[in-house]
Amino acid sequence: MWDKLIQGFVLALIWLYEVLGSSEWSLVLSIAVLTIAVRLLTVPLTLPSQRAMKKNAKQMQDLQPEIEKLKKKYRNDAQKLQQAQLELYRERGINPLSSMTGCLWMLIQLPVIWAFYQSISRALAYRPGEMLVLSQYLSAVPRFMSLVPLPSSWLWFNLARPDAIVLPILVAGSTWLQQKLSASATQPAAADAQAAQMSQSMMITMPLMFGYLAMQMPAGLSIYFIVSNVVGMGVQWLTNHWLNGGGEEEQPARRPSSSDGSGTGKGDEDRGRDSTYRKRGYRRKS
Amino acid sequence: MDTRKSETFSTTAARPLSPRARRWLAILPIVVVALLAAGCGRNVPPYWPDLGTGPDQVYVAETNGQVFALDPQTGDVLWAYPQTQKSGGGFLSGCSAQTPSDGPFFAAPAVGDELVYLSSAGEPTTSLFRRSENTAGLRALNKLGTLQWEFRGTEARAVASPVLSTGTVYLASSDHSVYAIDVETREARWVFETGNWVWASPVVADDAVYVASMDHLLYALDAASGDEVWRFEQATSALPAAPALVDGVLYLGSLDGGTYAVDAQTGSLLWQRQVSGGTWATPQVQGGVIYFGTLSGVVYALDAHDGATVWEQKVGGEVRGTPAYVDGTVYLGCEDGKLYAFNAQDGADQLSPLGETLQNASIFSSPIYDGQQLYVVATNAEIFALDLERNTVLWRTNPLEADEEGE
Repeated sequence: MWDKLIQGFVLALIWLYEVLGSSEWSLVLSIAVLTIAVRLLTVPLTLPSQRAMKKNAKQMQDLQPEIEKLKKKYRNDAQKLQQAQLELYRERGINPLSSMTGCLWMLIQLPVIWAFYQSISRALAYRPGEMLVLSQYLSAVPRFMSLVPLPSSWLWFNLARPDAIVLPILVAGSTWLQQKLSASATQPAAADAQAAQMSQSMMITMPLMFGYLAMQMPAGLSIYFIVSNVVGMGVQWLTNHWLNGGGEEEQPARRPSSSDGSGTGKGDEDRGRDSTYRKRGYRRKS
Repeated sequence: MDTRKSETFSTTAARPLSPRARRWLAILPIVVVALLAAGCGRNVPPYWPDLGTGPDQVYVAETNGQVFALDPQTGDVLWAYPQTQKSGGGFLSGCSAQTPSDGPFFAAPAVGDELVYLSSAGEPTTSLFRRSENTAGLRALNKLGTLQWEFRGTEARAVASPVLSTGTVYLASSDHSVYAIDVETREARWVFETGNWVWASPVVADDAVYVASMDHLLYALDAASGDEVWRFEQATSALPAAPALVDGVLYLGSLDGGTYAVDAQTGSLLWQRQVSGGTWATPQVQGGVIYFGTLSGVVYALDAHDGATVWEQKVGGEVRGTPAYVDGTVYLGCEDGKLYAFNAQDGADQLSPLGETLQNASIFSSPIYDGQQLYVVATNAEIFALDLERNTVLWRTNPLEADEEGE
């Protein structure tokens, strides 16, 4: 099953390479086009998670004043505090685990992305063993055998070998940007100090880690990461737009103190509308 | 910091999740992604072991990049090059097990009177901080496995066996070139560049060198100067294996199943035909018949004069190696872990001297006959010496396991 998925991606990649003219640029373009396609196709899988996370974050945020009150009330009794919080969640119809469910949705799409990622590596077939496996994949469409080995040189890069500087920097930069955009969407307020701290450290470590990995992996895979991040940013922007701008009840409450309010660039008018929707939302739930 | 604050968000109706558990839950997918990105999920072995024989020694280039010389009678390891291994890779660099301290070497050596020549599949890797040593090229060892001299002039790995001919070692490289290295001066006399990787050993005959390249072309070069004499351009796919040269005709197959007979003097096409599956092996030519297997698991016997099918047989997987021909029987290894034996006349199945089907291992390299025994190596690093008269296994050994036990 896993192998079939990779084979499918390999065939799609080489078909696109053929359609795009079988040149050095064709390979990079076909990686880019297929990356865009894969990312867009997995959007339906990410959207529920985005919505769940956003909704969860917003609900939690709205409950903060009441939770603070409970904390003061049960300052010396952690168990009672927990019970009171659970009662509050139940009352408001909040499932504190819903953000985890969102995470699960994101994990479901990972196999698809991994399969595609592996398919790029296998299509490049830099060494004999890899070429043998590629020939097995291409046996489904024998004429593709005349297209291999795919040209691995593009500009000054060898797509089958790691690049030392340029691509790792682009990978790290685009990872950071995407994370930044994603964080501003799903964590409108740093209500949980520890979570905020963790997300801050991830904001730095993740781009550095992916940048380092890009130094080790074939440049073709770096192209995938860069395009994937750029598409991710686009999708994130559209998602934010859709979640925020559709006049839905999930409109995030932007506290004036929030440092992450720059995501959509909306101003006071929105803030006023937010509170209206919030009230409406509460009425409906209670 | 108020640690209870975080607990409020990790509380569930069923069971509260501690902040630590939450942190691990968040980090776990990242770690998995990182490991996969680093190559842990890449389970394709980059090379398969390769076999060669000399007068008193059997050589096997193993999947760990070491070359072992074995006693043909007992299978005992006489020496290994490089002798020691060092730990390979750094943090997350592909989860590779170990890499040898030189090389790695994945091709059988060329054996001369005094020296054996190894082609190294090492390659310089460039990182932000340093460019590693280039270990690609050629090594010349004596028959005790001691390094005598080396040539590091290639810019990429050499995956095919070198070829020795009258004071010159011909080395094919993935830097697209073929090098003619003088064994006296230890320098390249000439370098000929093709349009892509050269994964096939050059074929040397008289004053010509024939080079099959992954750029779909077959080149004939002047052995003295390296000048191009002719090029054969009708192949429709990459040429990963060396042609077989018999009676002035070059027989070769391409990755898309094109099979060609080319006049070695002029480079003109004598005949061509298409077979099922790609070909990645030098054909075996005997008595006017060419024998080879394909990547789609079909073994062909074709008439060398016109390419007409004499017989064909289906086997259980990819065939990559060159068949061995011994006394009217064709032996070839297969991806399914079997060593097949066919009657060369009619393709009838014969009893395999290996007997068993190897579990979780394939035979991708060519069986080698040294005039007395047939040697076979599997992808699990195990080597078999077969007595063809009695159809039995004389000895079997795994140098990698023997190496570990010896440490």
